[in-house]
Formats: sequence, C-alpha cells, structure tokens
Amino acid sequence: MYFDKPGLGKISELSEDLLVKILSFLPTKEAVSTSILSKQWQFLWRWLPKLEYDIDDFESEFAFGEYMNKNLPLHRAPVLKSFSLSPLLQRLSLNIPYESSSRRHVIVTPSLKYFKLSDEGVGFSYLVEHMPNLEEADISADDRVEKLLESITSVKRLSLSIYFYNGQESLYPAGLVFNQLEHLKLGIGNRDWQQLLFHLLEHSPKLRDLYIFSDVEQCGIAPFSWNNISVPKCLLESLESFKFEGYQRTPEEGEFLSFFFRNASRLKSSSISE
Amino acid sequence: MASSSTNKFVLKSNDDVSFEVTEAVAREFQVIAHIIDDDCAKKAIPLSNVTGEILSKMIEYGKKHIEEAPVDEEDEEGKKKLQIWDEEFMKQFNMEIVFQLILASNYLNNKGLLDLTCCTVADHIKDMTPDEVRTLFNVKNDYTTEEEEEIRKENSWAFE
Repeated sequence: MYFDKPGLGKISELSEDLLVKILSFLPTKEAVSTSILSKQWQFLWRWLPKLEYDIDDFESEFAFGEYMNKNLPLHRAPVLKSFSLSPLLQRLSLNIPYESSSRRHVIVTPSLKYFKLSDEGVGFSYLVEHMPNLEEADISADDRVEKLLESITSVKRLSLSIYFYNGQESLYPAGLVFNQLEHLKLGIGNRDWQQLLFHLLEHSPKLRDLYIFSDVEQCGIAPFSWNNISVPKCLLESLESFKFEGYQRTPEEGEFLSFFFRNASRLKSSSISE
Repeated sequence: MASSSTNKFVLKSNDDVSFEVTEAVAREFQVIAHIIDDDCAKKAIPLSNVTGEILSKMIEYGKKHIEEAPVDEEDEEGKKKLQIWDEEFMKQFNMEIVFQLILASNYLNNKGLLDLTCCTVADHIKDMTPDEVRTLFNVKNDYTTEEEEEIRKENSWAFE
C-alpha cells in the first residue's frame, strides 16, 4: 500500500496509472520524450488517452506518416479519446494493419482536405469529427464506417471499399447526402454492394463519374431489386461517365447494368471489363 | 432527516487526528460517500492511508469547492475564481507533499484534486532536463548508451 510509510512519499511510489495521469497533462511531444528516462518509462506514453501532433515537428509529411503508421496501432489506451493533428494538416493517411486489436479512434482534423484510411484491423471503429473542408477521401475498411461516412459528406471524390458491409438500413445513415460528390469509385466486393451502391447513387445528386470494381469473387449476394425503385437524380441529370472493372457476369451485375443503362440518360462514355 | 449541510461526520487520519466535517464536504471524496451510503449510523470514519497533515489540506480543498462551487456550467466567473484559488492553494506545497496529495486524492477518489495535483507535477517537470526529472521521480536510468541512442532516433521529433 502506498501509505504504509507516511511522509516518505516519492513519485517513484506512484502507480503507472498515476504516472500516465501526470503525463496526460503534458503536451504529447513532452510526454513522448519521457521515454528516455528509463525502461519503465519507455512505453508509458502509449497509454495516453489523448494524442496531439503537430506535423511541423516532423522532418516531412512522409516522416510523420511513417511514424503514425508505426505507432498508432501500438497505442495501448483502450479508448483513444482524442487524436488531433496540427490544425493546418490537410492530408492524412492512416494504415492500420491486421494485427491491431480492438480500439476506438477519435480523429479531430477539421481542416483536412484529403483523408485516406486503409484498415485491415479487426474491431476498430472510428469517430472522426466532421471534416467540413474535406475534398477527397479514400476509405478501405470493414463495415464499421457509418460514423465515418457522416463526417466526410463534403467530398468531391470518394473511393470506398467496404469488405463486410452488411447492408442493414441503419448502416447507411438516414439523411446522409453527398451534395458535392462528383467522382465515386466503389468496390463491390461485399455481399450487400447493391444496397450500398443504390444508396450512394440516390444521395449523390451531382455525381458525374461512377467507377465500380470487384476484385474478389462474389458469392452470397444479398437480394436486391432494381425494379420498382425511384431512379436516382444523378442518373437522370449529371452522370456522364461509367466504368466497371472486374465484371463477373453474375445475375445481380446484369440486373444492375440493365437498370443503369435504361436510366442514365446523360451518359457520354462507358466501359466494362472483366 | 438532517440535510447534508447540518449532518456531521468525523474523519480520522492514520496518525489519529480527527476532523469534523459536514456531510457535503465528506461526500466530496467518493470513497467516503460510499462509506456513508453503506453505513449511515457510523459517524467516525477512519482513513488508514492518510496522514492528518494531508487530510487537513484535502478537507480545506473540499470545503472551498463546496462553498464556492460555480452556480452552473455557464458560470465562467465562478469557475475562474475557483481556478485561481486552486493555483494559490497548490503554491504552498513542495513536491513531496504534492505526491502525497496525488496518492491520497486517488485513494479517496476526488477527481478534481487528483487532476489539480497531477497537473501541478506536469507543470513542474515541463522544462526540466531528463536528469532533473529522473531525480525528482527517483528513476534510475537503466538504458545502455546504445539503447538510449535508439530511442532518441525512433522518436527524434520529440527530442528537438
């Protein structure tokens, strides 16, 4: 017990929890620099619930990216309450490798223009604060991306691959509209790609380019009917170019294609390849 | 039933110093609040892990935060006033006392005082050299020169 010898209190008697608590009141940079004190201190900062980086502290954006890719997955705080970057940061790429364990990231980057997330981890979820200036996003992740989608509605370009999209209505948040979206690249390697594609078309009124691709064999596709649905506005008014790579001649693909070509009245170019 | 401002409890330190406090002040420390809820009849509460010197300071802090509690979330002036008092309050202690306050506020579970004391240590070490911090924390540098070099290299951005 800490209090066995009253009056002899030294910081060394503080538990690691309390040391981390002290570190949490330091700027992230200084907290990380305490790793030099001793082996016990080397990884204490990895338990910090809040990280704030200033990209100017790094040699280059590349060095910063390398550092984040290496260290973020190793972070041990069960819930990373806040993760913020220099307010000037405009491009952020996160690559989360498969070995990463269950954890939650909160990413605060209001000025971001480009966001790339490549998540092979299991059990991650994201709370990305709204990014009103975001122009381009490149997301490849498992199915826990609903919150993420809500934060990136300002994008002009979106590349989206969701591996295990399970197609429940709730996963495409109600009222989510991509008002600026002009270029959409969508991976259809999940069993509910038809629902996701329909929702995205329906809620992207300015879409000009649609590029869909499939790089895995499709099986167990969830039923969806392209008949008796209202035709998305973008098909009638703005969609000019269509590209489909990885066409596998499944009945579902066939039904979508006939719906698409029947209604895409502004189409100027299209290509389909296997 | 007596209200929490008139109901009194006695807190007893591990060196047998007793302090009579109102229930409201006693409840500032969550562990004591639990003791009160579990057994309301008992009026003297022994705290085997806190000295009288530390306990008197904690009670002073608890009292102030009851008496001068901001009216609501929007009471910026009230919050500011209490914050200034907190800063002055901490100035009287050397680091050894601050560490004891950290342990005691952690033990008795008073989040406000725990944050305040931890923040005080953080401010204190902010501009120290690694060696000064080691001395304060009583930490022995057990890295080899090569290992130390490696850590500096891996986190070079943090050491510039």
